[in-house]
Amino acid sequence: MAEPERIQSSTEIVRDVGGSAWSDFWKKEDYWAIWMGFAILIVGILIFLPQSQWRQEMGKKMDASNATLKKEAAGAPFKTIAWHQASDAKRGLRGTNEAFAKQIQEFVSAPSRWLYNPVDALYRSKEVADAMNAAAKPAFDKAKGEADAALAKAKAAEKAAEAAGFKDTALNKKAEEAIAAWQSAEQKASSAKRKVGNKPFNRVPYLIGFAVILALFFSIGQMVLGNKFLTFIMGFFVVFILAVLSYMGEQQETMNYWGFGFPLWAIVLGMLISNTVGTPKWLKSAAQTEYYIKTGLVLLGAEILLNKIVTIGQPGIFIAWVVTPIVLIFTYWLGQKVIKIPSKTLNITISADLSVCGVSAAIATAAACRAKKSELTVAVGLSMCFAAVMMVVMPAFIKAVGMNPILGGAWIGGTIDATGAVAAAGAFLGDKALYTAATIKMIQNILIGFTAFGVALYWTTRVERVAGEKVSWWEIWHRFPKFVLGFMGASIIFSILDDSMGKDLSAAVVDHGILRGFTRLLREWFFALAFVSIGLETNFRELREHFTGGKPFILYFFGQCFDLSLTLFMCWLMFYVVFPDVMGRL
Amino acid sequence: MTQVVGTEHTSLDGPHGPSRAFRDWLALAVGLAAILAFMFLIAPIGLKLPGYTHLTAVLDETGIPAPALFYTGVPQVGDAEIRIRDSLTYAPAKP
Repeated sequence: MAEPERIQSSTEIVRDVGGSAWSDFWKKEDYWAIWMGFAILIVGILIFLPQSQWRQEMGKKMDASNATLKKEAAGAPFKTIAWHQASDAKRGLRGTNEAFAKQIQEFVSAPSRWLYNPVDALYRSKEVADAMNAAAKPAFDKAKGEADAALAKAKAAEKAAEAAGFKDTALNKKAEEAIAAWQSAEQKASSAKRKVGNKPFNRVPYLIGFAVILALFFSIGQMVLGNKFLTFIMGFFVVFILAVLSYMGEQQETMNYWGFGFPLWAIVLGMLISNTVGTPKWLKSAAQTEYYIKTGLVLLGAEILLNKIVTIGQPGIFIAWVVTPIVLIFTYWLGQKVIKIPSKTLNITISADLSVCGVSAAIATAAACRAKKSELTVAVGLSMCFAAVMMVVMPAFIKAVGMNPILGGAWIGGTIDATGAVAAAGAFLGDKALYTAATIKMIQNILIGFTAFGVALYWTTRVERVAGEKVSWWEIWHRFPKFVLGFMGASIIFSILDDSMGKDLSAAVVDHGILRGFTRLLREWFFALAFVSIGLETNFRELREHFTGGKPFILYFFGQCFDLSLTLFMCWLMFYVVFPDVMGRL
Repeated sequence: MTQVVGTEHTSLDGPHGPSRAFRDWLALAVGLAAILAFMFLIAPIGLKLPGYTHLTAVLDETGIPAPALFYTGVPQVGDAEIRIRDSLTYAPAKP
């Protein structure tokens, strides 16, 4: 096969044309992303899956909890205390709670929360930890006492309802209210308990060790791709330090409340350097945006567990999977035909960002359509600013108009971009809204795979095609961004694994084991390295050009307005008209 | 004709302003100062706006990481999934 011709335009995007070669498997970044991503996924599987003893123990405990849930559901017309305790017991069964998983987390964890002193993010002495725990203890004791008292009241109310054979409506209602009050008190006690569990730590040696491992890991591909080992390693450590600082930006308490995450800080720090003192050549050799981002995206693929689509039944599918593509296509059309956004790649990146799930969707879409780095920067900035406002305005509006919390939660889950901001806005309204919002968002998150695949295919077959040119399947294959295949492949393999283990066990071993306990942590680091690299290669002038006439902002605003209207209508239709029984069961 | 001496550009006619390198480093320092000012002065004021005070209390109580990008970054999403699934699979039989 012929060696592909690479057309590089303005050093921003690289397009492959002409053909494919066997050597692509080791000479192209896309394939390296797949190999490296899958190597990490295999390591994750090898760490978590062979632990058969705890898997068996978990399975037994889950069966016992499910038996209790079934018995309680059949015996009472409301969720009893035992029902809640059985469900809570399942929540405690997670691979991430095991000792070996905690060791992994300690090694790859990001810096911790801090308020005024940045050193607090990296080091905490035993004295400080003890002082923090002592300060939080009175609040914990009080919350624990209140939870115990609420439990005693709930038990008495449930007993009274049971004595009447659960046939007295007033007693049933009283018991339900007492149980809800106990659940609320229990949650406060659990939150207070977290604050007395502070432990001393020193992240510096772990971060140094982790940086060395990552540098060696990434240098393998870089050497084959033609980069010099020493230059790459030298630059990599600086990129890594900037990634650590970006995490510290996210973990600063005030910034964390605002939802300003590491991608924003990574871009800001990178841009600050590149636009002032400049990015030296040796540092540029380690600023490998596509390399880090595509490897991260293959790992993200594993987190797209297709079985989660049905978590909340048909209403979830309609709210997340019917509305989202409509909003995505409408926003793209609006940008092209009405607002006249000059760049199609900027248009689709913003459209995916606001319609699917914010920054993660923007990353996947931008990589799939080969958007400019500055375009991804624009989408990330807009997304974070809108989320910071919407996570307060939406729940305040829902409360003010007295909207049902489940309806409000579903609306929040379908419209706010960032998952963290969705959970925060849902919690603003209470447990039911939080659970609904978080679940709808999770279902929407799964769409990211289809969006990236669809955009890559559309770009290859339509956008990049010369007018009148007939594109053969072979040509489509040449042009198609191959890492998307790794991304989709990881999703399919992990979805099969998830399905084969059963929902409960998979939640503990795959979702809360391999993914949350290992690959997610690495994936976020890779994204942090990628965003630092983007910042180091972006200049203010180019960014300013995208904002000419405020077009990206106008697109985001009107796209979001359409999303809000359509999602609210669909939520109402699903929960009040088509599937009202689901609302009653939640 | 110009020559660089220390941090100042000089010409045969005498000094005429700081060097490019100095200005670049100064710009970096100003940028960092702006970030710190945003972090410690401006953003905390914003949290005193109506709604944000309640939001910070909720985030403190629940431990929700507001900047999380994907569902796997929010522990509460895992809790929600189990609770929703149990609520639908083991729904109490209403009379």
